[in-house]
Amino acid sequence: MCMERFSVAHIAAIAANAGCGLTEERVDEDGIDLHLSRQGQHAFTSTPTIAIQLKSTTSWTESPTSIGYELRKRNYDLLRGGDYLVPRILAVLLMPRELDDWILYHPEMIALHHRVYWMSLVNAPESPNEYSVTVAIPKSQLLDTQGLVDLMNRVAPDGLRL
Amino acid sequence: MTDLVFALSGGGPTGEEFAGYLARQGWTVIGEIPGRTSRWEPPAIAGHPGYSVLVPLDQRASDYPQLLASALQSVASVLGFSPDDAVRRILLERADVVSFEVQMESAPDGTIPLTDGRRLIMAGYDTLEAAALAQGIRRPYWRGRRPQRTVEFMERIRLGLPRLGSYVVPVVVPLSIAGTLERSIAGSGAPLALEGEDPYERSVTRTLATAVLAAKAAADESTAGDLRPFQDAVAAGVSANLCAALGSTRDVPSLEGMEVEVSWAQRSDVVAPGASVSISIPRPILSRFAEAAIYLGPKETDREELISGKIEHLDHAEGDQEGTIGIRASVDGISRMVWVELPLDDYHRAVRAHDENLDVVCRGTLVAYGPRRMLESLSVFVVQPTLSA
Repeated sequence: MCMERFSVAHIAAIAANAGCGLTEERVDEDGIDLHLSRQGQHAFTSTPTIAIQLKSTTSWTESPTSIGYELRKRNYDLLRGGDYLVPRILAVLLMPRELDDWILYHPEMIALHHRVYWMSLVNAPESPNEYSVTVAIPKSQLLDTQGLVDLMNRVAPDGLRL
Repeated sequence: MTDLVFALSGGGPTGEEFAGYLARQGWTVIGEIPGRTSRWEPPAIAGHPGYSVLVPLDQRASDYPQLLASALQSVASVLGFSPDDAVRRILLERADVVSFEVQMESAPDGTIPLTDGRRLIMAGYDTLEAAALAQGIRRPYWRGRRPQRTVEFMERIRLGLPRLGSYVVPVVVPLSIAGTLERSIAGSGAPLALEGEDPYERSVTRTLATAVLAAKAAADESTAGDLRPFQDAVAAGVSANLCAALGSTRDVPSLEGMEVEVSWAQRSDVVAPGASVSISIPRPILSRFAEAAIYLGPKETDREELISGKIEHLDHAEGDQEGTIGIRASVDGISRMVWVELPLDDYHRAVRAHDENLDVVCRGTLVAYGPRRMLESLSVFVVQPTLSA
């Protein structure tokens, strides 16, 4: 629960900095935790909205180009395929194991550890796995302030331009 | 949220209806993907700067139910009422509401005796039925089997939640959408309404408003010894049934009066006939209604009669198993219109007789309803053949 609230706070800070509105879904029954929207005309649409399935983890694998994360099969299927009015992404917050390391305090600032990466699974293949699927999240898809603005500019009437 | 999603999938408001509701509440579209989604912000006066809500429009989309439920919850929270109340407000926009309010003393807890509540609810039921019956040929009194369309209408209307204070019973009348079968609030189908016409249900509520106003005017014009204004008001939909329904509420002890209000559905495809109608009926008028119910009601002559003549009127509503004809016949030496209800086969024969200008012969019980004559319990219906020259 603490990790979940911390991850929401992390996204909320980024969203606020990027000028996005945030709506938190009270019950995750469709695999979606948050909706972010950003007012104004963007590359493909006006006032785009994205739906986020937000995860946080203290254990992940890493390659030079991607982050490996083990996603529950149910969540994987809720993010892939289907005709969704609001494009869906998976966002994973990589976190320190120790609670004391989540936030770094400095006289002039605080720092939230570590970083959030995102990916779209809309074209992901069906998995034969029963319980979980390991996804490879591109390291190039960092969800920081600029990353979020860029993401909003990928939202189009027919989905996310990848 | 799960219950709301479930409720929305079973006949609750659509995204389009929700968007229409927001528009009528003064909200503004700030972004949309035509046919897919629209984003709305509240009017500045509502005091929620920066807030907006995404409304899904495409019901085929996988995330449509969840997005709609989320939007309803969000707007309800911002406006300060429950999600269920938000759903109710939107659904009522697709329905006319006829409210029956009695002015009387209720207990401090807002309750009234069950016997009085029953009278009130039955008065509401009978009033709606009287208005539905008046959709065909206007009569001073209706008895016997109801037309199929009336039966179906009565099965579709809903009892709303009574409101506290002066006891109010609201009857919700969902309107069919022109050209389509609509999922009503009850989740059942509704008959088609022709393009460009009021839905049948709107015709009934209009008639109800007109008839109650006409009945009240007739009561104002009439005296205890002269109730003829009520007969004149039959053309406006007044009947013994309507008068008896409303007049029955005078039996509620401590009743001071009654108010009948008709609120029109706020739909863009069905034009509301102006502002809502509110008719106040004080107790003395309700008593006059009860007298008029007797005046307009049946006066059994108990007379077996054989009549013959030409058919001058034909009336049959599509789907009904009976039709009504008016025969110009001599009764007691006076030329009168005698009305006869026929089963469908005989009605079709009557139509041919009318078209070919042939006489018909009927035997039955002649009943006088005020000045109107009906031949009931028919035992004979014969079309006279053409006499060859």
